[in-house]
Amino acid sequence: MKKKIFKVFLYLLLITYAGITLYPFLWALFASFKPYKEITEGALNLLPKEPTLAAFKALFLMDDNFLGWIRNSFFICTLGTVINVFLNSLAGYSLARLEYRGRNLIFNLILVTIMIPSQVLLIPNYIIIKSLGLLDSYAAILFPSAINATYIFMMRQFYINFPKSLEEAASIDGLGRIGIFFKIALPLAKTALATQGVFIFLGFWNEFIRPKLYLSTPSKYTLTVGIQSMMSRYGGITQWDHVMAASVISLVPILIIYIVLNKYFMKGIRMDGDK
Amino acid sequence: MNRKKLEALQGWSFISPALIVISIFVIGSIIFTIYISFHRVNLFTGYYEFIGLDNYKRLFNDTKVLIAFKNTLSFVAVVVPIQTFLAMVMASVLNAKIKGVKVFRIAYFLPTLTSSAALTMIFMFLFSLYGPINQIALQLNIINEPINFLNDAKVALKVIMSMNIWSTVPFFMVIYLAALQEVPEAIYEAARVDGATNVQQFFKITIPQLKPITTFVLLMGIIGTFQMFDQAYIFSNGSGGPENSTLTVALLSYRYAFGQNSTMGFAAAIALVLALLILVVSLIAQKLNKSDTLY
Amino acid sequence: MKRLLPVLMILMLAVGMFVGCGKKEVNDGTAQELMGKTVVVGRWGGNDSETAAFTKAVNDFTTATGIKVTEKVYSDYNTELQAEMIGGTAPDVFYVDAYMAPFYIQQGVLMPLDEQEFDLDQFYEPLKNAFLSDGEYYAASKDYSTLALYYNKAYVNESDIPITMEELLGGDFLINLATGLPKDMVAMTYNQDLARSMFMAQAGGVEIVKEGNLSNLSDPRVVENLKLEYDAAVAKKIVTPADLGQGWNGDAFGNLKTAIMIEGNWVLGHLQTNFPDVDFGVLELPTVKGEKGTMVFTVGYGINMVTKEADASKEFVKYMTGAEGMATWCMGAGVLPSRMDVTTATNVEKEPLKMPHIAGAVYAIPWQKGTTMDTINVEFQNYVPSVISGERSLEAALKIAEDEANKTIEANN
Repeated sequence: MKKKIFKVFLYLLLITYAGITLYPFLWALFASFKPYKEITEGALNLLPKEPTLAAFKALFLMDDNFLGWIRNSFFICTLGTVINVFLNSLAGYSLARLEYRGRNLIFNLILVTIMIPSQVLLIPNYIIIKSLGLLDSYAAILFPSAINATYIFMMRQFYINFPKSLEEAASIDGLGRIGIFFKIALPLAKTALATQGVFIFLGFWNEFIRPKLYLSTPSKYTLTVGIQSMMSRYGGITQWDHVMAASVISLVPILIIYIVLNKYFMKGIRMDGDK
Repeated sequence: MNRKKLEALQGWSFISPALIVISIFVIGSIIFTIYISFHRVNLFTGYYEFIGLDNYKRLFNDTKVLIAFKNTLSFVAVVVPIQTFLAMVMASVLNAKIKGVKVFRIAYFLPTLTSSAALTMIFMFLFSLYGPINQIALQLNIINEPINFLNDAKVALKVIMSMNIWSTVPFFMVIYLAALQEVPEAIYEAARVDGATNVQQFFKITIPQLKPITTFVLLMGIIGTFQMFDQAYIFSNGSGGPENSTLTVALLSYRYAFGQNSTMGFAAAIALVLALLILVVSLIAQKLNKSDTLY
Repeated sequence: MKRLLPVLMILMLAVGMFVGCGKKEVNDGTAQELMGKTVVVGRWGGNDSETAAFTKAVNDFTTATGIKVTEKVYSDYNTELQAEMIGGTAPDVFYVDAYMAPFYIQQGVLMPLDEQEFDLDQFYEPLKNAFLSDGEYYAASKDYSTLALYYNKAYVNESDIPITMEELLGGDFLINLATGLPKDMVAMTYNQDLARSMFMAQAGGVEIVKEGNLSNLSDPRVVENLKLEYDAAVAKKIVTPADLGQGWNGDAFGNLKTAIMIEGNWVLGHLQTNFPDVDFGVLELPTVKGEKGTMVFTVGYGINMVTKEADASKEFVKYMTGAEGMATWCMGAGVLPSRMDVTTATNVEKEPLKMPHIAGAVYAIPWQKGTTMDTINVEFQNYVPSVISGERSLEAALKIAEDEANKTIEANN
């Protein structure tokens, strides 16, 4: 009986919270199918009264490069995510599992880098990128973001909790450090890797100000930059129907990736050993 | 001895890619920022005039700076505990073995994908003078007269707080959820055998097991809230008003950096002091969370 | 051979014409050495018709001069442009908003333009002077906007609208109008923004900026001037668009949340595109203290001080702000030409919706005065809400706003 009440309570909690979080999201989603007037008139209805694809059409017609931007975004995001997940995990593992002098210093240094407000770094970074001769190349976006201090930190916290016994057993079996990392540490952290991967992909996908600064050839733009550059943002008028449609377009790939990776959020080591 | 050396070598080589990127792009920038914080600069013409500690002295004389730090601190103090606690509770609920939980997992993730421009617009509308929040509160007789949320110094920051909590909880929740997968089920089973209730399990097992991740969530929450900029900027149209109530340190620094005046040096000083404050608060939070167990 | 002769003659004629044409173009057009050069132009994005008009004008320019143009479209304009200027990668020519002009001029990043060479006498006086500093002009205005009064014809009779601001805001007109409106519609919206009400604040010759670029908001005459608008706001005769849950006046007006607004002509295209059913009229602003007044906002083309293509850049600016380029741009984008000769040539004065805006160009004041306007306005926006909530009198709020602004301005120097 008590268990049942608890379950009902859980469901109530889940549904209430789902309502709170989902309403604005759904509102934004359906707004992309509404005409401008209906978006701004301040009504609470989710479903469009006069559904229209006008905003999507307008976006696709706005610039010949549109499909190219989607391709560019996928290229940068995928490459960037793979590099990041690998390097961040490597660094996180090092900070959590390996003993060496200077480790705490490095860890604190990495923490400090997250603490500097990013606006301050904007101009110095631009000057550095320029002096490296990377302007208007994808390296300008990928190089500074090859690692992400936030997720190095996250991976460290994950690895700190892992049972040492598996590594020790592998070591006895004659596996070297690199072998342990690839054969034990990475597979064990599947959940964390998936989480990291989704958020890093999301970060790259939504990254706006740096690609905007570093890329100047329109055909090289990413989708976010391309869409933003098409919209009047400077003291201008926000064309809400276009903005909403753009955010829906940019949301689809992330949603797919999340759903694909979602099974990893469920499965950890405890469920089924090493798989 | 040899093994120790080998491990050190491995440690350094594993971390080196990260160190290279950081030293090129972050350390260099920080040194540059420290440098200009001691100068009056015109970056356009490359004019630098050494003015010693003047920019830092101004920090203490400027009432705006004081207000901005106060606002930011109260923002951190309110948002961080709430978002951490909510994220942890929701994650453990989502981790419960009940039907349909998969659907909720996807549903809860969705808000992290909503564009911030759209979010702000929806919130502005929800909280407007004739908007739904006021309508509902009026109908329920909670208030007699609509509250001007966006124009009232007493509530403007609270609106931004709630919006921030709303939009950050899902992110931390997903991270907690990932961490919960690693908690061995055997511990819970043992507790259940001993007759522990669900709530007891949450406090006695879940919270301690999640400690390293809580450190991460706390620190990321602290850093994120200390640097809060976008929402304050959009809500107040960049003014930080009404009555400086939404003026955050990051907003103030941005205003001095990209405004109509050559005050980049002062902006740099503000940002550095903010970073220092974040560092101190983070260390305290880390210490508080890191009790006897685990690490 | 006989048969070939006419063919040859025709061929020769054709070749001759070809060569002749080429020669002619070089002779009466730009100097030959500029052909094939490329000018990079930085601007912010606009709507579809603006983009199309810009592209057309640029193509015409390239055809006429042989100078190629590369566009750079910015979103966070001032941040991005400033980063590029510091990095030395800024475009050769870029948009300069009049209100940011004093800053860029002070930083020494703009090249002075010769008054004769750029034909500046043809420009409306306030627009020409918006880029004037110490006797030098630093940009040429490409178009402009002024504020005018918009009313919804379904709810308001033109003849009822008072012709003085004193009557409009101070009298009973708005109260009477409100009683006849639907439940969720107000009579008029306003903005808590000095950029919109500076002309009212300065009525009678007082200035909101005093010596040393300091805020002068607590001057009794300024307080007196602003009282008109803020008494009406306290009495709820006028509300802000945000109060209505609307992003700005244009949306509030289009969504039938307000019957009257004071807006710039940028709202025209917005209403026609997004709210085609709303039937509205446009009037010149009511007089303040018996005098006509409004705000003017303008953007010009400035040339980068360190450009490597100074001559080609000048040609570009001359073309775009010349009679031909400006006509192409303004007709296509639906904006107002900054040159008086283009105003006449394009017959834009005959359009009833634009006419009140054009009339304003002569007597309007620009939103610009030194580099402290931002600070002054930020503090104004910061403290004015306390007047609406009844916490402070307008006088007290303006006094605090002035003190706070001046503290910052003095510390910046």
